Amino acid sequence: MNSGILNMSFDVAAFWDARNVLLLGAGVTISLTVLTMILAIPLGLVLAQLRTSRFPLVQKIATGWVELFRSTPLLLQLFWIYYILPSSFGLALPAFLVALLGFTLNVSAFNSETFRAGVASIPRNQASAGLALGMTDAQVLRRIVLPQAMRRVIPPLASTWVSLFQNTSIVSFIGLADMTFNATGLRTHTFQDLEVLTALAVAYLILGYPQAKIADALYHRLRVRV
Amino acid sequence: MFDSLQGLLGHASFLLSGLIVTIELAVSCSIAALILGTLLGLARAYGGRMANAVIGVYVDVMRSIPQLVVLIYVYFALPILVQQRIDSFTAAFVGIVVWVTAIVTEAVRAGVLSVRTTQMRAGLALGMSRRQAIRRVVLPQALIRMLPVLGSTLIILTKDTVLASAIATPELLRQSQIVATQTYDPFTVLTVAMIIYFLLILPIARGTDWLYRRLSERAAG
Repeated sequence: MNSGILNMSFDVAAFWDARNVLLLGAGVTISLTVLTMILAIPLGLVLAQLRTSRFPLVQKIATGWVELFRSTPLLLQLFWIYYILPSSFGLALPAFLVALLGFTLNVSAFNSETFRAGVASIPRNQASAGLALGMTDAQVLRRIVLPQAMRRVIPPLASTWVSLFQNTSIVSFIGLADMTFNATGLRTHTFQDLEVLTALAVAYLILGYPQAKIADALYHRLRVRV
Repeated sequence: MFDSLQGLLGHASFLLSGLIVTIELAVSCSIAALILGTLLGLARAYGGRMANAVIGVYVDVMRSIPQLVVLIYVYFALPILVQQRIDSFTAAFVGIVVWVTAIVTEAVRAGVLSVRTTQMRAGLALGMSRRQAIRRVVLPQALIRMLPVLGSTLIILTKDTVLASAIATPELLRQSQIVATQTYDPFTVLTVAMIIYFLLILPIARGTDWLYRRLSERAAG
């Protein structure tokens, strides 16, 4: 027991030295998160609209698409895209674009469900009132339903954001140099697992904690009392 | 397509062993995380300010760090801290449970606190002890409200078992990747794996929906 404690030493310098590669990786982590969300919000809206389409076939395909991406592991989706693009389409995209594509497809499926639920939560008579005032369907959606739905949609979008930020760590599997990839690379280089991985965890904590708190605050502020 | 499926047939038992590990991991982690999360959630709601603060820090830390990073930490860094080798299945189990328990804790706390305090007082007024009132009055009502969140948490857990491939746990995704390097045909084996995961996860989603409908009907009636 005593020798165990003696063996365990924490090299503070190694912990601090990890900051450079982590900072480099943070750029990839953050830009991937931001770009994915920018693309996945409009795409999620489109998917949500397709799911309420007048054509049953379009409805079925959109629903199946959303179910598929929501009910299978994200990492597997990423691998699948990573392998199928070059082998079936002859497309050898850089890892960042593969990751962006995979995350966008995945997150837009989750967003579409958020938008669908948000619109469905607005009482039907709101739309009827708009129609009775002589508005068109599009006007009702844009001026009555969507503004009310926004309030209910923002909190789940925020928690999707928080998960997305964390999930970007899996791009290390396809060789994209994010924080996790850089830390595991440094680890195998210096053999200072404890210091480097603690630095990685702390880096995520510093970046992720404020996001989680903002998401909480949005939940409390925008809560709709029924 | 048919030929490539036939090529997989020789690897069927290898893939099956991966599927079994995936199921073992998902089931054992679910049970452990549900039990621990319920205890911690109750401790947070009723255990006083100190317990609330300490568990709150744990929950916030886990909510800020990715599941993958926790897994890698448990496998590579924790053995140095505890001076003890940890095999990859145990590391995967610990890493997943530690991370998912935080989500369950929050769900239980929110569910319990959403039950009106008058319910608790009514129980106490009937001569129940605090413990009895929590177990027989508050928890059953909270459970119904928690079900959707718990269901999606179990789905996240099952999907996240694939991350254990990063620490060489021989679960389905890792075994599929090994097969892919042998057949030179990642497309087929990954598609098969995708279908298997879909079939694993769909019953969890439908099952919790069904349970929720049944329980909420019974509560309403």
